Amino acid sequence: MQIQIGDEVRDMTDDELAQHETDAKAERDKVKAETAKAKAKQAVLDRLGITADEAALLLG
Amino acid sequence: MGANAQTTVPLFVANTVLTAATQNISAATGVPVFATTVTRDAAFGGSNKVLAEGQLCYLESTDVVQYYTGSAWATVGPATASGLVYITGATFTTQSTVSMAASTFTATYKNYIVYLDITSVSAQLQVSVRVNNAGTPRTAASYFWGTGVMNTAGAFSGTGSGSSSTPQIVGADGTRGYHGQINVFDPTNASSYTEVTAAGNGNISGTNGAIFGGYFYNAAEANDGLTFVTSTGTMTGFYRVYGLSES
Repeated sequence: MQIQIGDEVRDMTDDELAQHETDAKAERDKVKAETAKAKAKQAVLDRLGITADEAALLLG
Repeated sequence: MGANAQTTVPLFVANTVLTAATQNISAATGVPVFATTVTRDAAFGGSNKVLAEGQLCYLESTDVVQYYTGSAWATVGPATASGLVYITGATFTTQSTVSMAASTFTATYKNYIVYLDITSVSAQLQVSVRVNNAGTPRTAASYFWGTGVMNTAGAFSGTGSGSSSTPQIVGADGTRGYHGQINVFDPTNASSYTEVTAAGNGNISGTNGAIFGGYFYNAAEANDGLTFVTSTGTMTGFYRVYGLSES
């Protein structure tokens, strides 16, 4: 894995690589949480039998 | 004091003997050359030439040409940089982390503008814009950030966090990339938070449109650059950094 600093491109140091992996895991967790939230939202809409736009109209 | 520098501007009166040395003072330079403003001011008046409007000089100490208005010295040139002053830039190709070199931001300018142009990405992605401290990106969960994207229907959706290490205020996809301007406010002030805002066209979490974002890093410290980190995949493009002159 590489990093660019200014014009220089080099391999990441161990610390930089560890941070990169931490960031990647945080992003995976974030996407997972967002997906779960979207699924839960859709499940509620399905139970109510309305679309997201219709729900927005009700709440607007 | 250089070879051309002089300490007097001779005044000739009737019967004054013109020596080679005296002649060479003006003939060699055309415009009188002084080491400093002090020697310049001492060279006129008294038995020397009276300082009057239209007088020219060159100052070795600051490398400028000046003229006398009749009441003060004014600088002819070279003109000092003003407005947006280009500092640095870089082009990157298929990188996931792009960082500015240490000391990109200095006390020379209070505020900075960064133009970030991501021309292609490997997949839709967000970009965290971190502040650098002594050349190293801050990765603590101390970014208080928010980002919104307005699509072509005018619908606005946003996201953000009050304690995050990934201030994702930029986003791009393979079709649009990202083309925006990032403002950095007083980053080298050690007693204030670094504040950053971004506005551009791109893609956030799959929505194309106009993107507005901003954050502050929750620590009073001097920061000297930015680091761009993709949420996934790589990006290709370039950035340009400008300092805002105070005049």
